[in-house]
Amino acid sequence: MSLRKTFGRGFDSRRLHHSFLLLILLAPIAFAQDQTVTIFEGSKKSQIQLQDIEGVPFIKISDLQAHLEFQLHTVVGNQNLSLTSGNHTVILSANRSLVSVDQKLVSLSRPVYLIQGSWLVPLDFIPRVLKTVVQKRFLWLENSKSLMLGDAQSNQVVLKYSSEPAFSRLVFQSLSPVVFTVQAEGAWLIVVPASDEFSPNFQNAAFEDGIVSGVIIEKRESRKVFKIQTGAEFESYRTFELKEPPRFVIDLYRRGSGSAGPKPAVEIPVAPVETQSVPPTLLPSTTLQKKVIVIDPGHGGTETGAAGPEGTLEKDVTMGIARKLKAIIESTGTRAILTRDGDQMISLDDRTAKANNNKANLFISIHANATVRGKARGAETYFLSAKATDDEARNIAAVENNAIGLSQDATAVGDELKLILWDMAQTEYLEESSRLAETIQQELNTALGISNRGIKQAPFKVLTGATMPAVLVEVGFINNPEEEKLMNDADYQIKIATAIYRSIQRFQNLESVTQSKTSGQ
Amino acid sequence: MNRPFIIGILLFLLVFGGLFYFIKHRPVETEHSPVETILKPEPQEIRRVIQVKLFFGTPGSAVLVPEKREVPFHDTLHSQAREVLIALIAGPKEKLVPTIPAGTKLLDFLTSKGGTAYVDFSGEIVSNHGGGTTGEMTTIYSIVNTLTVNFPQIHDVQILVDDRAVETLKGHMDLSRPVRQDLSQARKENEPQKPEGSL
Repeated sequence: MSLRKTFGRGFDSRRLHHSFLLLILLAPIAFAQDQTVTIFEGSKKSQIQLQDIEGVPFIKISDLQAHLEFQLHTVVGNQNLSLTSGNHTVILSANRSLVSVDQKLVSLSRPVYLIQGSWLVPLDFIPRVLKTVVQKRFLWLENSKSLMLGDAQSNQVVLKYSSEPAFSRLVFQSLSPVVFTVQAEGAWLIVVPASDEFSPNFQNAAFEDGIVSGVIIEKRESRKVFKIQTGAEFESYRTFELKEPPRFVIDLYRRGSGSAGPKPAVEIPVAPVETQSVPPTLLPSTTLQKKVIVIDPGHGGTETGAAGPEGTLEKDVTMGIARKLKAIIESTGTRAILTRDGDQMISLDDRTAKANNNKANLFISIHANATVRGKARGAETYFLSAKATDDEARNIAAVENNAIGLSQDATAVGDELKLILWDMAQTEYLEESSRLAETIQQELNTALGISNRGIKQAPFKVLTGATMPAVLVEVGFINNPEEEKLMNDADYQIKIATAIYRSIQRFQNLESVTQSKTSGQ
Repeated sequence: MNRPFIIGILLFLLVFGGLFYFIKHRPVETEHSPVETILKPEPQEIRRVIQVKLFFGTPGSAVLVPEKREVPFHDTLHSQAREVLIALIAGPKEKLVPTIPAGTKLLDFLTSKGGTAYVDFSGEIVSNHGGGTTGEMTTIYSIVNTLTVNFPQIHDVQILVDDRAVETLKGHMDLSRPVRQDLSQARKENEPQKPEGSL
């Protein structure tokens, strides 16, 4: 490559010198491949290696051309590149950060480089230039460096976990069927997918039920396999498949649980087994000898929740009521656990996990409500909306969420592995949850003398993963000055806590009746 | 004697005639563009606006009310939906409550083959939001219902903030997955309720 040619005549000597130095310095490291852009197109997922120049990622235009349909022509002594797409023309010049897009100048964060015959552009070229000229519709997600082309879908495997007294269940759910085989290796069960045309929606997880201690993902011969570490309580397992959505289920039985059903002890290749239209019914949970109630004071830390006109913060009100409720419950000998013990921020998943790990019988999340504008009054009790939980929707949702490599965690950028653990576990408890919500709402109405706002359903994040009846109580509207004042009052908080406690008692009496009624079936 | 007078008249005609011509032929601002004027034998059908329903809030409640509005017509779902979302962000014209926090901008919009709309908002949708379950639901369902009611192709809506999926807006509703239409809080007399679960 001729350097003289590269820099043309239009540059001053300082710039020439600078660029010359830059090129010499960069030549060896320009192709260090440590970052990628992920492209989602149809059911395909591909990656483009990025090139690092002075710590900034650059992308080869020709790599993008393969996905985004445009033409490239070198013009004027090879120092300029024209990119055409439909009626649009883009002109790029080597070592310049200004790009002409349909005769208008667009400034990029870094200059365009021509290195060893390849045109390299900074990543903001994608949203600033390509977005406006390329015919194909796409979504550029800067944080996860993902390019999602229209109509993208990707086959992702979502792992779900649930724990029952006699067994633990792991469900591998995918959009299109994946054949899995299971091999036992000492204390490990290795789940091997037959094809690699999917991405596991997964991160390593630890469990505390004694049967499964953890699931990790491992790369074996360029294939990702799931490794299940069994615990001391593990005795045997069985597998089966379900359709719509395609699911591969492994039940791991507890030692001496005397569980029904076939229990092959070793390796079973999972041939496409007869599809069972109804999943095997879960064993009824044992009678609740030791009751645990988990109370979740909404929000906390920097996440203050809604605020009242006088400055009362939702996180403080919820904590006040939760502490009082805990005290009342514990005075009767039942264990109560708070999801946070002070003013700290706790993720919604961790709140539910605390209830699941403590095998709580009930999960009650306490919140204070607010409207966008205008005064509303009264308490409302919510449970998870079934609409958001129907199987098909949740499958597509889970898959599509991850199709774009989205992550809630900035540190997980570039890591497509994510787990929806306990995802939608609540679905199995919706009926009980609605009865619990009903009881709480009745008690609150009586105690507070408010008109019945009724029980409501919404897809609350904090409820989705709870493996027990779970509700969210909105004790009142904090943006209503009168209710704000009441919420600050300790007596009023006790009143609410007492009403919730009474409803818990009533609910449990009710449930023991329905359980004995239905246990004969 | 008469010359200045004639010149004056000529000047007057020139200036006002020019002005008149300009007003007559001012581009775009007239309701029908010249192209349409030429095309129209059936003026009703060529109007470049369509009527949409924008769901806005009501003071002191979770009720959403559709406001009928005319927005410029676009021939692609993408552009049309953007137009509708921009109108939704701009807020109501009737006595309803805006549902999108002030300062929020629409960053991007995309629909997938499966009928999921991805709507990418700027961070103000979170930072300027007052919170509360009801407040959150008002914002989310005004977006979801507006898109799904006006565009049957859109089955559900995934709300993104600053190019990322978020767990929730303010700690309540699950936004990590697409949200489906919920008209249970929409005022029914104005808006016939869709049968539940209709896909």
